[in-house]
Amino acid sequence: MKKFSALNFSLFIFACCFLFAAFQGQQELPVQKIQRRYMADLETCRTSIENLNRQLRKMDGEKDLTVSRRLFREARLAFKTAEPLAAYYDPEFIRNYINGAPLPSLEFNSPSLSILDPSGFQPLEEVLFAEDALEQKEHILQLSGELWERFKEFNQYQRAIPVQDRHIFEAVRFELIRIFTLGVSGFDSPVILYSLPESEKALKASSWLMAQYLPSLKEKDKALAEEMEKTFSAGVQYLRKNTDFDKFNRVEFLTYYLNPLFRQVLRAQLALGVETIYEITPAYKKQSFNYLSENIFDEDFLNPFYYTRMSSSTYSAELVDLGKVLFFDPVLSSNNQRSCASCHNPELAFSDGQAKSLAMDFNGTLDRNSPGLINAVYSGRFFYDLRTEELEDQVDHVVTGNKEFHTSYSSIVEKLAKSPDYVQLFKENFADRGANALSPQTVSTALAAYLVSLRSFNSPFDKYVRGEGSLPAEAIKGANLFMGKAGCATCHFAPVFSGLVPPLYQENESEVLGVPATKDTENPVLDHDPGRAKGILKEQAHIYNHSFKTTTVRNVALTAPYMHNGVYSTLEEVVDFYNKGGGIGLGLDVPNQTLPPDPLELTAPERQAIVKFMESLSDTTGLTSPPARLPAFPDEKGLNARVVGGVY
Amino acid sequence: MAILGFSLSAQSQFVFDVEVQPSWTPREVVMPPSPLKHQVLFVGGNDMVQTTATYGNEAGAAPAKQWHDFIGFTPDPDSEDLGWISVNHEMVSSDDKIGDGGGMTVFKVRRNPATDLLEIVDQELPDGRKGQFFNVDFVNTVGETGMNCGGIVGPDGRIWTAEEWWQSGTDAAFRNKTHTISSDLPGDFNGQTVELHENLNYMVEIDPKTARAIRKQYNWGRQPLEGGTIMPDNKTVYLGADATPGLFTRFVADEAGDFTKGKIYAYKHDAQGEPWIEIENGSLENMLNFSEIAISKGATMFNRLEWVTNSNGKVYMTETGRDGIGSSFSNGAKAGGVLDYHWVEPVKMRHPELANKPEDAILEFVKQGKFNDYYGRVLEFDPETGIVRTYLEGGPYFPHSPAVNDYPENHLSNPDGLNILNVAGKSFMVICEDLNGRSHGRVPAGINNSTCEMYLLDMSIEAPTVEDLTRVSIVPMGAEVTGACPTPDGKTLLVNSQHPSSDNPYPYNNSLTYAITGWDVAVSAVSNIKEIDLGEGFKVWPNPVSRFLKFNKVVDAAIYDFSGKRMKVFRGMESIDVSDLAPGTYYLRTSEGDSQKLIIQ
Repeated sequence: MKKFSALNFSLFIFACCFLFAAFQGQQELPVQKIQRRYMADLETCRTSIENLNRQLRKMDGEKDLTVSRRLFREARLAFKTAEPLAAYYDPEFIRNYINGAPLPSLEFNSPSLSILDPSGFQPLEEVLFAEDALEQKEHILQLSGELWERFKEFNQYQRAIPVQDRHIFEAVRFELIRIFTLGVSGFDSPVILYSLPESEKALKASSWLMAQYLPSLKEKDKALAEEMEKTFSAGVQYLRKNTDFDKFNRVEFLTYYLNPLFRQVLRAQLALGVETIYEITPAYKKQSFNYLSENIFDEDFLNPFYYTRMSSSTYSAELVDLGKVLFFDPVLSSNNQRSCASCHNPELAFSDGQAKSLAMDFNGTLDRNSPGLINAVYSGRFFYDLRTEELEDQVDHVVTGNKEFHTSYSSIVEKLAKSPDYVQLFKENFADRGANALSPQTVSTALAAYLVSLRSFNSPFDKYVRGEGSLPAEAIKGANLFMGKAGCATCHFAPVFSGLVPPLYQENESEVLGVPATKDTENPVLDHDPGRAKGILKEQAHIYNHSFKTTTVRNVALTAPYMHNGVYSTLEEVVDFYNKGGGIGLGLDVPNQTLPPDPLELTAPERQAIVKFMESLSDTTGLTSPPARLPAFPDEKGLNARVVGGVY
Repeated sequence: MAILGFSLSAQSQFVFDVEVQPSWTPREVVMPPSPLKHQVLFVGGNDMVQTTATYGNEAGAAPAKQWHDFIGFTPDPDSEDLGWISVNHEMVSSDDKIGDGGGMTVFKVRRNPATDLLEIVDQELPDGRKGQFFNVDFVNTVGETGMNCGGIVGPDGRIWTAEEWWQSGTDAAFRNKTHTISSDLPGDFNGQTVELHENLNYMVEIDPKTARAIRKQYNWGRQPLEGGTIMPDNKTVYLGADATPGLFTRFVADEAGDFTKGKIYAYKHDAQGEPWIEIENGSLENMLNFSEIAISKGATMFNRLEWVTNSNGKVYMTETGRDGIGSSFSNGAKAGGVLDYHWVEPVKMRHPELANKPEDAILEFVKQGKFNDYYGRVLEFDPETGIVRTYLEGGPYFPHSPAVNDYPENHLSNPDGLNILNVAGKSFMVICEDLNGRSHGRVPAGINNSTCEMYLLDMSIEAPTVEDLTRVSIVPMGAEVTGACPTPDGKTLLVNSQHPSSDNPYPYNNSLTYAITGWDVAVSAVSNIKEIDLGEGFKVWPNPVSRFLKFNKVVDAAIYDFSGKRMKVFRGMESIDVSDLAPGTYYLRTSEGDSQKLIIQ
């Protein structure tokens, strides 16, 4: 009756290992070799950061600064070699302390408002490569010292990670997403844009990891093994040859290298019989990302149900139909004249063409612009100020808002209960809920199901990068600017082109842009809306003043006017605003603007190309038809004159 | 260390065929149905609560608030019914009918003698409200409430809710911006007008029988209170404050059961004589600035105290931890605060290089913010000695404490909810996690969606470690749990699930309160399963309570369904969770070639 002690346990394992190794004729398994190499890579990176620190401490003059900057680049390359596994095994550590955005953030789950200063490579890069770097030595030393301490800590924690084959395949696929969305886009090298050499290291490291499996893969599927080996090598070559950040062809790199690798690595994992995440975690734990998807721009790349309370098993075509009827039925509003479609017109990709939507009873407008709804489900939080966590809760705010439906769920349920058609529809869809079939919950679930159905990844651009169609050269040029020189994709992350952060796609970012109240560029005034700073209580921090959710650029050609206040009527105006450097670029005082304030210096044809790219992201196929009719109310004849979609 | 690293991985890589020809062995293990019965009692956002006339609206009904947290249980000695359940709503939202901020819902249950399950009792309250679920009226009694987090169940079943408010401003969700205090407490409270946020952050007594708030305990101080406990003497109250520095507070009533009169103290471990410093509590000014005054008098500082409970004369509380203490303690120390010696053990555990340092050097290390408190711990306070010590340190910190392959069963991070389940003559601590992050091994490597866990700890174990925890995987479909509260008969654990976002069928995809009944039967199973016989060969024990299969050694294993299709793969596990497998026949195979037929009933 004795438990294993830790010592016995490790001896036992050691013995097993010994025997196993003997069986294998001393042949190291891939995971053993990978673990050894990972430790070595971390050690190399730690040493590089240590060298950088040493150099920074004695830095005194331009010459030293040049050396320091070279050592910084070396440390970055060393980090990128370790990144595939480091960022996989402890993504939060890497984000918080090693390679997160150089912006202040809020402490998670803290008991009071606690703003954390950024740390890691990126804030260090900002000061070390600033013009006045030599005058900021103290700040530089503080940041680099912190980076070194944290990296040492990271190494210590990584030592006991039990490397598994599954991890390696997943880590490589995450790294491919990371290279595309956070690497070649310039996201994680925001000042010096050392992104292409860094991406080369990251891809090379990924290639090395996969190379450990080539011998066994060749036995299972020779063609696949050879294809993957070739694609990796060609991809690394591509990065080596194309080193101009502004001219780099991201679309080509994605289409011919990253996406094929994304598919090949998965197929290699399956061919080898290595288990997938779905065999590891219980089925009820949702994944945000579809581990079995073969293309970053596949329709099923993300799991919409990760972002909803509803389960995939609740979702059905019939439920979507019910949700659609509710969406277009003005009976949901207190005056029976307004429906969800009043402000979310399917012809305008579910926006309404107004700067701010008309309020109930024609009593002014709502506070913000009505956003489009296609692909809106892909969001960790909802509303411009990110105030709700689940799609279902979003609907609540519309129902109860005085300027919107100005009603309550209980009165909606009471009203719907008077229609035998509705009662029947709810009974059919929620048979398991008995007397609760028609309830506040089921109403919001049905509406949410309809929103979940409003998904589209079949725009001309999607089809092009999947190899299913062609795209005008100007749109391709625009895509490369969007994801490169213009820096758009460092906030509008692929593939949703919204603030949903890769590679896990679980959280939404918001940004402080300094959007003006009017188009007046002579005497611009900052829009008064505090945004996220007046969102949920726990986030009412000054860093979120005028901070708004980064919405999707998909279908944006249909959703004018733009920004949270609808200030800009055309995409050209929007691009012009960013090109000038946002609010600061307009001459406004915008504390904590997260958009770089320097002008992008895009030429007129470049700006036009970006617009063309955005226009190539439109796709509303099959999503726009309203229901043919609305359910009848036999005892409330007045209600039967309801207009599909509402009167106004 | 590196050698250990290799060896751990070496045994793990065995490719299990995706499909096999099931070859049934005579060896068979049966996972019987769980002795525990689940039942949903109360669904937030869906069940209607009866409301009082509020903000000019007439009394009526409204969908209940969500974000369930603390649960209190009040026995009913006067009828056959079991008693009243009180549920906190840890939210901030405006509501015309229920009241702004957070709130509470109360309802009454009885036990069906035939099935042992709970049933909701129909009630008519003295104010005329009729129904099953009742909104506790805070608006017309004590002037709103918010973020109702932890709470207290008194020895006689009286209920207090903790307002874990933590901002100096009032959220837009509140329509009243000031509040004029109406209070029967001695002192200068009554009639003073304060900013609304100064009327939040208290312990508030409510009456679950009439669904009304009774009073805010202005005399216990305004702090970001998270939890508390009242000792069996019905006079001594201990409170925890969720802050860094957070204070450990004691109130002693002049007379048992009357908490309006008495003295309030902050803990100071190094005080002369008793380790408590009194703060005069008849003045609103003093009570509004409780923390500042106590710190200036040299109070002992903690790192986010959460729930507090008591057992066998001792007080237990969760210190949930915080990734970066930063300058919080050093600033507190400048203002007068001190650190006690409960830090010595956790710091030495994680920083072996400090093992030989004097204890005061270790406190200095913590004070300077050099200790990153990723995991937190459970603390024990002994009123006899006046000392707080680390009872159960969170972790593991992989390079040192327990073997990584024991993950995730032996693991505890950021403990929050805390309660004691007394059953079959034994005391079990019920601990609920509330993760502050996923870094530093708080979730297993290669998993991105792990949720908070609930654990049982047999309190008869001397000097417990995380290796003694039993993960309770009774939670339906992986929802996060809070508020685990036992009924006095030990048969039922009442549990709340909050922030449900898992792929669950209705109603498990809502904030809800549910009951898990059958602990009187189940606890022996939980206790016995910890005892593993190191016999010959590969052995499997089913633990029906937690739906775990436990092995006598660390294995790589795969589970195949009846047709031979691979369903699950486990690497380096000593036990596996099969709670999501449908009843049926399965085939278990280890990398060493052992196989076992598995029948899940």
